[in-house]
Amino acid sequence: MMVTRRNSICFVFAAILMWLGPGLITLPVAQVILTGDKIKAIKRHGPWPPVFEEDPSNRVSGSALAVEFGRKLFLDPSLSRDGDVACVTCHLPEKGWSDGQETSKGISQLDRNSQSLYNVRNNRWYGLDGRTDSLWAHSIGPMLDEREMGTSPEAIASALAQDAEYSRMYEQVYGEPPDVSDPQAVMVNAAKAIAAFQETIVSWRTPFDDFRDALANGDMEAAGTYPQDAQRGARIFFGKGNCSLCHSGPMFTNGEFADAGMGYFVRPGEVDTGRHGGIEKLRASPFNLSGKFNDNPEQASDWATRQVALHPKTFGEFKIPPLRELTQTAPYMHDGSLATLEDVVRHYSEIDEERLHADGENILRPLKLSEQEIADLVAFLESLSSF
Amino acid sequence: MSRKIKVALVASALLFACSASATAMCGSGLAMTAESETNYEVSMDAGGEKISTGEPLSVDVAICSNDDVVVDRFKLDATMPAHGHGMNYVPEIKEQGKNQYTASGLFLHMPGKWRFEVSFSADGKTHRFFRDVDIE
Ligand code: HEC
Ligand code: HEC
Repeated sequence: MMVTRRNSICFVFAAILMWLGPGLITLPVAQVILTGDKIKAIKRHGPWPPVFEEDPSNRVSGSALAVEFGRKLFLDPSLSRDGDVACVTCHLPEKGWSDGQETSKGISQLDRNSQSLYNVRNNRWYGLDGRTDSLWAHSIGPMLDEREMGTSPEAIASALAQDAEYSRMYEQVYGEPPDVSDPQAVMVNAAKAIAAFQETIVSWRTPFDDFRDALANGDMEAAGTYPQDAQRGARIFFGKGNCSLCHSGPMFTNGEFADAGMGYFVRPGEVDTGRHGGIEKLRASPFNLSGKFNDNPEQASDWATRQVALHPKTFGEFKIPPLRELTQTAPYMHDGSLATLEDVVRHYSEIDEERLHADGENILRPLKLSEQEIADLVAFLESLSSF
Repeated sequence: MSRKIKVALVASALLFACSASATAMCGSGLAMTAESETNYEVSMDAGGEKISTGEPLSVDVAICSNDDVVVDRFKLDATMPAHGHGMNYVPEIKEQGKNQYTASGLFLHMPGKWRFEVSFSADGKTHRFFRDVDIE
């Protein structure tokens, strides 16, 4: 009885409103609050996803058999010294391919935060210090590092040769079984298959990508449905925040290194030299693109490896990280010292100029954002994630 | 007007025309500005109007002069004056012919105003030229 009466009241009310006409009941109008230059800058941060291009330095890049073989290796702890650490220990799919820890632990404790492997195939440099110049070369490091998997080329070659399944897969991919008399070559081939697998890890389209494409197509109505707080955040990101100078392009990184005012002491008296040490390691590595393991030196040019400059400013610089899918990959920064995206935004808002390199670039300044602006910039960063 | 002055005028007009043609002949790209008085013209060509970030770049540089001088110690760099930083890579320089060079592996890692800087020695002096380019 009550229900019916309430329904009929509603009905009458609705009828009156309809009679009064649409002029009275207006929904909030979706609109684009960004203009000219900022729209132009936003368009340069897409489209997404990028087209897949094979890695010319890796002859099994893009091969389905190699992807399968690589996936198995990526998940398998039996390759590690004590049989309990695999790549997936520190790169978990459910944590956006990082591990949720401040700093990672394998056989023993590392000093850095695990990086996400989303879209990793698009990098120019690998590692927070850019110590390697290809995905396959980077995949060798954790296998040999005493603190990570602690194994050796010999142990890898014999593990693959002795396991019937691995041996079969290896032969399918490379046309011959693992040759234990050349363990280094077997290890590099294993790393190239692991790289082929990691090339398949691509993040999805996000609310930002729909916004960006709508702007590119001139569809302002569709663009206007992108939330207003994210739009206000974008105005800071592409404007006074200067964020897009470093976090640029579809990946939201220019692939280079910078000093974002984080400390680089690992413990009293010991520093993480960041990019400086990375360049030294790169030059010393037999696995860089100038070396004999590059499968196609004509196409996979080593210009960056030959020409990278060891400036003093590289000391304590770290990779400018991509900003996609960050909602899955907390905590943040090279040492994992900032727990939330809000913490990161507050860091930029209050950045300590004393901590920035005196001879570095003068781009970052304390932004002194209001609480509303902090919330808006966080909303923008969240819109770069698919969930 | 005295004959002497007329001759001088014609001569200087000729000289002007010659030096103008030297300018037109110097390279195919953007003219660079000298930092101080010089008898040289320099142009840089980055393969088109649009130079962009995110791709390694090659720049052809032509150095022209009316004197038959061979320059040496050629250098090219690019910096962002507003941010006080340069490139993270050292360009590779190749000599392509008399007073012509190609610098490759330049990488402009940020949008904004970049200043290309060229220097070389000739006549016992260092000559410096620059050109600002807005990069998107
Ligand atoms: C003990 C934890 C741990 C293990 C095991 C581990 N990683 Fe990592 N990984 C890290 C950390 C920490 C970083 C980032 C810090 C650094 O190395 O500079 C990283 C970085 C990377 C990167 C660089 C990503 C980028 O964008 O530059 C790749 C690629 C990678 N790991 C692949 C692998 C592969 C493949 C394996 C297995 C062979 C592996 N990792 C095993 C902790 C680990
Ligand atoms: C000068 C270049 C530069 C500018 C400008 C810049 N960043 Fe960064 N950003 C970095 C670097 C470098 C790091 C990594 C620092 C570290 O690990 O020590 C970073 C890290 C981050 C992270 C953490 C990502 C992760 O996975 O750990 C976020 C989020 C971020 N920046 C957002 C922003 C925002 C928002 C702005 C503008 C207010 C901005 N950045 C401006 C260089 C820059």
